[in-house]
Amino acid sequence: MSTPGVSFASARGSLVTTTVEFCRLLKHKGIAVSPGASQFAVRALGEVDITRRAEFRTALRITLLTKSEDIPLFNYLFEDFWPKGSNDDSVRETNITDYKDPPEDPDKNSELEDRDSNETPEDGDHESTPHVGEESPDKDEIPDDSDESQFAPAARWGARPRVKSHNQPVSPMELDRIARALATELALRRSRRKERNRHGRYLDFRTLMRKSVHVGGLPLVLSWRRPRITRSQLLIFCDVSRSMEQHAKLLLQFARAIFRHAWRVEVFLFANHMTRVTDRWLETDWSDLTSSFADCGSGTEIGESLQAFIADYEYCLTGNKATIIILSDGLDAGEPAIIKRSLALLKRRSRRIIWLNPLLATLGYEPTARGMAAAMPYVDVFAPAHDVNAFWRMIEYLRSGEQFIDRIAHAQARLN
Amino acid sequence: MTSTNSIQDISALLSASGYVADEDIATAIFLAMRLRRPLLVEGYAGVGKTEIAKVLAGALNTDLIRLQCYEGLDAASSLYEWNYAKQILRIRLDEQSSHDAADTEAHIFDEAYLLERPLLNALRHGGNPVLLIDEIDRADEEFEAFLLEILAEFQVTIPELGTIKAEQPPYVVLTSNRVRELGEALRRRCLYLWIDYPTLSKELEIIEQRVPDIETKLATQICKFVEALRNMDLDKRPGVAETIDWASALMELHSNHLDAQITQSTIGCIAKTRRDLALVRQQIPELLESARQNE
Repeated sequence: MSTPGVSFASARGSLVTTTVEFCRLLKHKGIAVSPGASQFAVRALGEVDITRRAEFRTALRITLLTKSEDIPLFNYLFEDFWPKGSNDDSVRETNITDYKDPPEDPDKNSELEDRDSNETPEDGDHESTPHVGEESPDKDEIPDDSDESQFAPAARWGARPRVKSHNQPVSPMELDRIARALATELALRRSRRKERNRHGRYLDFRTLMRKSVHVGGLPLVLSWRRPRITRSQLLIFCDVSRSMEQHAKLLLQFARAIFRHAWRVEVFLFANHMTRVTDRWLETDWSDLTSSFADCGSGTEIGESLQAFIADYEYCLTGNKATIIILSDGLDAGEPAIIKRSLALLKRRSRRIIWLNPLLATLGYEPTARGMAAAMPYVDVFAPAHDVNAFWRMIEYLRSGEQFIDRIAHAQARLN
Repeated sequence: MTSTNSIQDISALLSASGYVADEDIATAIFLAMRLRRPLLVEGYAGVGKTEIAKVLAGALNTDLIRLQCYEGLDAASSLYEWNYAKQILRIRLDEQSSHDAADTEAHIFDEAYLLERPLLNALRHGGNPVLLIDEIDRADEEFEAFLLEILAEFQVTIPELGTIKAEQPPYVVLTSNRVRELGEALRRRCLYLWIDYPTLSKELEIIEQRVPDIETKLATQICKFVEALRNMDLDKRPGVAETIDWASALMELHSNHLDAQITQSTIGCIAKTRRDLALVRQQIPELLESARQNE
């Protein structure tokens, strides 16, 4: 290490200001730094030997960061903000908005991805996510499956989705039944915690004791506890871009039906940004809703939309147990890297991600469009959503916990 | 108590107790002690997260109070529980001596009928114990929320007894394997330490510390082998704990260098799933080759 001591020693007077400035920079770059944390950082700097660069940096890192994901970015920003042996004044003049994003460092990135995939096995690779498999019986009919299609631009599918049209009118009653079944399946969960309940199987000693005081310690009336049923939140993201036009009606009806039956539901529409429609959901007709949505019918930027969701509605993810349902064909004009990043975050902060894709009903469809391929590793359930039967099959799957992949392949074989 | 006035002191304390800590870890422990903040430690399995708390307790010559988390962990098993059997006896006794029921009720929810669980124990300990809340990510969000009061204020409220505040707050170490993402509220209340896999030289130091009679040549080979293994696509990458196990196993078998046969027969120490076992077995010659490089 060069001689950083000089710059740090000279910085002592303005250390607090500079540190706060650095915290602002971190916040600006998306690292959540609470005011409390910056206070502790300043206090920590009083405890360590700040003339030693490594110690100085570690103290800041330990007090300011709360996630290992932020460490590479922090290191980069630290080096940039406090260059080795630099004059401190130059630092404070820098405008935080001038900071560039860190260069894509392949090593660091792969390291991080590596860790993700190793630590959460369910992240898995493509094969582990249930989706329509390669063993589709009529392989001949698959629109060209060459290497090129692996990186097929979104437009290839978007131009003329080859979905068998199943657009029979769906009875609202039917959709309602589906929604109720799905809401029950997704949102109710038996917790390991117990609550007082007359029909429970576990004795509730605490209440029992209080009740029996008055009868000389005789447990005349027993109190019981049983596992609590917890209800998790549902987040529905509905794609209303151009390529989804022919499915949007069904999917919106579906989303609306779920909304009636589940406990806490938030509905968002997206194309190239994310709009929360939960409030407007009950009072307006779905057709009004889409027409009032400015993006409707434009191109899709899934990653950007999800990113907007994270930025604006992160509170929906509190508790990390929401179930996320994405209704989209995955045809994306945006950056796959952004999809990847935002879904990875959503995956960590939710219980389950379900992606319903109308195109999946197409024979031989494989999620190779760039956007969809980027998303696959993070999706827990990948299922078709082109008609009512598809919804029923998905519910069946969720109930049974079986491998969805086989069922769909069989169903496809039967259909054709 | 031994002096803990600088990071160097902490480093010295740790290494005296057999823990090879790099500067990051020592700094984190030092700051946690000085700022009186809980320390949240994350890292891969087997890199010595839990060990930090154990060694810290040993080094400070204080008690280690451990709370192992699991799903469904609740206040009754982490904080306190009433001693129901004793309460029943008391009620029966009072019945015979014709006490007022209200009196009895006041009695049986008294200190004497309280069973302390780890958290309450740590708060009322009185000697700055080390409280280890192990694998907090296994407990559910409700428990995490319940911990907030304890971690921020070092106090807890028991309805029947009132608020209990720690006279001498414990040093708190939380560990997490990232089975699930922890809430922001909890993270905000803690200092954060991420422990990565150790560097080759650090791992070598650890092995020599923990398996005292090992030859440097064998230890180096083991560390290089394991390091190469960590770069493979395995389900469970071996941590330092596995490296130590393996080194001990090889010592038991009196081997002084790695060869194909001994590696084959002891590979179960470091590969822990069927798939990993098959993968590693295939690669043994290459891995040995890389382990013997630059000798």
